[in-house]
Amino acid sequence: MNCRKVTKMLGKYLDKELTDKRITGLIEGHLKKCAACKQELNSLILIKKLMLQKEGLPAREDFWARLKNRLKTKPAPLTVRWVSRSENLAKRLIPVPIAITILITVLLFGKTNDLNYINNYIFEDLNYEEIGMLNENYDFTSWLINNGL
Amino acid sequence: MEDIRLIEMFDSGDEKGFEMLVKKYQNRVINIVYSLSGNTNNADDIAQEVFVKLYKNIRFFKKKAKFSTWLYRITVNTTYNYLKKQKRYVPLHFNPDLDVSGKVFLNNLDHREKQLLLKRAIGQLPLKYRSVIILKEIEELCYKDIAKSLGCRIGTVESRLFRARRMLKKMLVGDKK
Repeated sequence: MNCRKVTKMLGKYLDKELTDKRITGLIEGHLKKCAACKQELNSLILIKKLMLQKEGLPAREDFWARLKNRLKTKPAPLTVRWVSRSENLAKRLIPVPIAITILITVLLFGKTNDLNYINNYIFEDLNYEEIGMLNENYDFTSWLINNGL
Repeated sequence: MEDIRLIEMFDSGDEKGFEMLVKKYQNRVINIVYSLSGNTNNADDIAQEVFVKLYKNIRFFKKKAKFSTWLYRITVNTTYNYLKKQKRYVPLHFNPDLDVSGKVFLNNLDHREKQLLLKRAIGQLPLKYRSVIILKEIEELCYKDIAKSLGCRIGTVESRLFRARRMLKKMLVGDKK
């Protein structure tokens, strides 16, 4: 194991978060030989110690009393909580029907416009004779012979 | 008493359960807020806000989860939101004579100076690194709980912790490697 890999895993090693004992053994073996990595580990230990010495900020004695004053409303009974939960769910689900409505509208409009377009495309340049071709009684063979086809 | 019992007490309408939860966690919450914001004046207000949120949302707590990590998540998010509103991530009341340049010999400093230096170094970390290092080194959470508290993956915790330590090392010990 080289220094780069060891340095990357030193934090995990120090935090005892390495689950693979084989890797722990490799790191420890490397640390015995490598002064630079050992020094890196010592720096991390120093920072850890320093962080643990960090002074906290104790809560003021009247913390709970002040909080109690802020919490004027009592917890809602279970039925109200259930309704509230349903309302929350309803609020989250509102976009779903809206999205479905928009999708259906777009599809219907799109489809209608497509049909109009196809109708216009097919029929706008046809003369009556060609439209007559769409009639099932139309003599298609005669039309081919007449047009030299 | 276990957290889950206290929550059940509160759930059944006994306010004492919530009071005991607050008293159990108030110092830890204040410390996280204080370490993240670096501001003694606002830490108390933010911590109060955290518990107000807890009071309003405790019904959404899934009892299979660990309560402390859930509370830490509310704490970190509330502090983030506060700092975003303030747009001031680095506390401004540090002693300018204490230069965080890596040239300071920690052994030569007295306790108060060390505290100031440390506070300044933490304040200079980007917020995402600051929260990880605080939860690890001050609250002594495991990687899994940090990941749950911050809503990220364990791999992200590992990489942020690695970078945070590298930055702190550079500022406090000097980067010789």
